[in-house]
Amino acid sequence: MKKVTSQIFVAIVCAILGFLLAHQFKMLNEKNKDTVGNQNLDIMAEIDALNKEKEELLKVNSELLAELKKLEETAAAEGAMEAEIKKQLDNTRMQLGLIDVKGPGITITITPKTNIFGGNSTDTTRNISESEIVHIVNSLRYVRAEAISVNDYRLTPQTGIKDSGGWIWIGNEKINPKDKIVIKAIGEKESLSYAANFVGVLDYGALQNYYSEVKESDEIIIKKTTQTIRSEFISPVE
Amino acid sequence: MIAIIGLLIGVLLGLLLNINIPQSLSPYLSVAILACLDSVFGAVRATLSNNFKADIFISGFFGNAALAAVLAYLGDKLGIPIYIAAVIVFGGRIFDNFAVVRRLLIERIKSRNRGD
Repeated sequence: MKKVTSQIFVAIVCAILGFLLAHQFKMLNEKNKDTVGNQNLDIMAEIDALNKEKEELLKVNSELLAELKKLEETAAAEGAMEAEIKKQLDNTRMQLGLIDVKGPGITITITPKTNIFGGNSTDTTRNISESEIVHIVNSLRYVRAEAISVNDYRLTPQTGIKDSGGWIWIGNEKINPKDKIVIKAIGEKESLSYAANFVGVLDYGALQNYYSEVKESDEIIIKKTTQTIRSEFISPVE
Repeated sequence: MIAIIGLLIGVLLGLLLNINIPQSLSPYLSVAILACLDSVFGAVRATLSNNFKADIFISGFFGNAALAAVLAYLGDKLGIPIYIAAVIVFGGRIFDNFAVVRRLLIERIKSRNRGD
């Protein structure tokens, strides 16, 4: 009788183990499905954003072509004005991030520290967010950085930085906060370097969980923006 | 045999029933399962060595699982991954027990072939 009772207990215990195993498998599978679902949503949102941007680009392109034609006509009519107009146009384009630019500056490389002994791999508080990127960009702009890019995405006067869906969006482009992030800035390299190394800049917030490296360089190339500059609502005051 | 039947019933219940265990407990549950597996391997070893005691098995099963889960929880709260200690100890013991089980089974098969 005693043996039968102990066998029943063993069976019950094994049943509990089986239940726990099956339940955990089921739970983890559901979690994975949820992650895939979220990724699909992200991709759909990205496709929507790209389609929208394409339409905007087509519109802006046609407008720019018309403007260029007009400028060429003016330049042809008044030959002396040609050089000045061209110079102003190039300058404006440089400032707006519409053409590739180069110059002295710094490169900040931010790499996540490896989390070998971290308790929880899904911990998102370790990752940087929009506020850390904005903080660095603001510090660089304060010392008059003339052009800034984040992971080769040029920041324009109309570029916003925002967290969404686990990514950091730089305008229409997204970067992964768990990957290496490279911020390039063109300007007076000594000032930029000083600003970047200033206390509270590269150790701000979650940046403490990242390795940061600041490198000065005599020639940094920042590629043009992929974002369109809109002037739909603004107009000069008469 | 009875253990395998119990295990199968448990797996079926786990797959068919929708019992909600909070997802936040999932990491602790995983460590507890490892501790349970260790107890089961220990039980198999003890059965083959003819010194299996149900009360020791059952108390070890629940005791180890609770201790592992509590350690994981405590580590999470203190910010140090104590659960690694449980994973290493129970993981190591599972392999040790499996090695002994393997040897006992092979010896048994050999002695049966010899006609002992």
